Amino acid sequence: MNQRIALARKAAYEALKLRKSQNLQLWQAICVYDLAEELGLRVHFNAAPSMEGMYMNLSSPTIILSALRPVGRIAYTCAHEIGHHILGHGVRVDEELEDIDIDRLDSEEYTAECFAGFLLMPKIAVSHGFAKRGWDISACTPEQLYVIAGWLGVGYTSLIWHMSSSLKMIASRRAQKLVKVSLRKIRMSLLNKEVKDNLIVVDKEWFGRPIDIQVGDTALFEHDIGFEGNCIEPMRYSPQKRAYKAVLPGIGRCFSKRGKWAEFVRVSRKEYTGLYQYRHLEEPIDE
Amino acid sequence: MSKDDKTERAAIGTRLRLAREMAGLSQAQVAKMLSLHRPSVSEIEAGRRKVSAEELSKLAGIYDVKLNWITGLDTGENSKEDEKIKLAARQLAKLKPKDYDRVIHLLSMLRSNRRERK
Repeated sequence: MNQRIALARKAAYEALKLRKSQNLQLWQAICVYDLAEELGLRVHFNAAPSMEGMYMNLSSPTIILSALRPVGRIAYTCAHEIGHHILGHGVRVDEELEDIDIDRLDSEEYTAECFAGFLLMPKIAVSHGFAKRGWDISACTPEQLYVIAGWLGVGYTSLIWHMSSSLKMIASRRAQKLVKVSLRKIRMSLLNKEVKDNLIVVDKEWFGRPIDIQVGDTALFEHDIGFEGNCIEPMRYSPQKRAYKAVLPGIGRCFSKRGKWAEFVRVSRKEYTGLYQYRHLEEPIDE
Repeated sequence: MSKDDKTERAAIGTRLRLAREMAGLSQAQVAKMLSLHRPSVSEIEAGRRKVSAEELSKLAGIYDVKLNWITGLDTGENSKEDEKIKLAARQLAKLKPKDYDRVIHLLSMLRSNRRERK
């Protein structure tokens, strides 16, 4: 067990050191794919159902990710593969995993898994996310956790388990209760309508990374926004006209009509396969 | 044009289509990048239009694949990279056969030395 603690500490140290070296503040949410690109890694999304991801230390280091997973999980896997890169591991192939039993992972896998958690969800970022919104972690609701997870770009359950087992911010019993709340129920409660695809909640505290969604996803803005671009459209049924649907791949910019807030929205095809750098490329209009 | 030339051009076209699809691009997107009309990309991939060395080099860069793979000159036995791919193949053996083939194929196509980021 002591060895596991040492590995987790090493992972946390390396993750935070990487953030510092890339000028990413500890309170900031990050786009893990942009980070991979900054590190000179080639990121490829592939439709390989039996694989989570892989890292290869080629002369052009390469990460291959399965596109057929929830977005938060793909981002976590990317952070895990960056961990293999930073920690100097060689070729690593991560099979499809339904439930990760972290205690059964070998030391390299365990370290990379911890690295991913600390890279995407440093304690300061998690605390900052709740504090800026005026939310009390000790009494946080599933909806609040869902919003924070979306902002950090991770899955709802990943955030809860990380807050419970690594950051010790939520008691284990409470975490077990929270993970049982279905995403369908949370989305229904936030939007007042059932949505088939992903829902992301964007408020004025959203800062540090673009709003990345896929065609079909819904972005719920908690304030009136203006929008430049054609990749998202307001949804008709939305009572406050704040829910937008991603309709086309591309990049747009949303901004608060009343304040100084602005952020880019990047839309990709659903379950995009290909190189990361083309993920949000618009389809040209035929002349 | 001889029958062999036609066959070779068609093979290059097929590999270019595969590389484009693997890169996640449409013909229209590639045409825009190369300042061509979309049907030109379609013609190249169908083996009906001659593709210049300059275009081939640009396409290899856009798709991030080896030029030798596109031209069919890649023997797959030339470097430490191939040793690493063999090592990966052993680890990838735990995947389903279809996924194994897909990933190995992708790795064999990828360019070794990417251009520096601008």
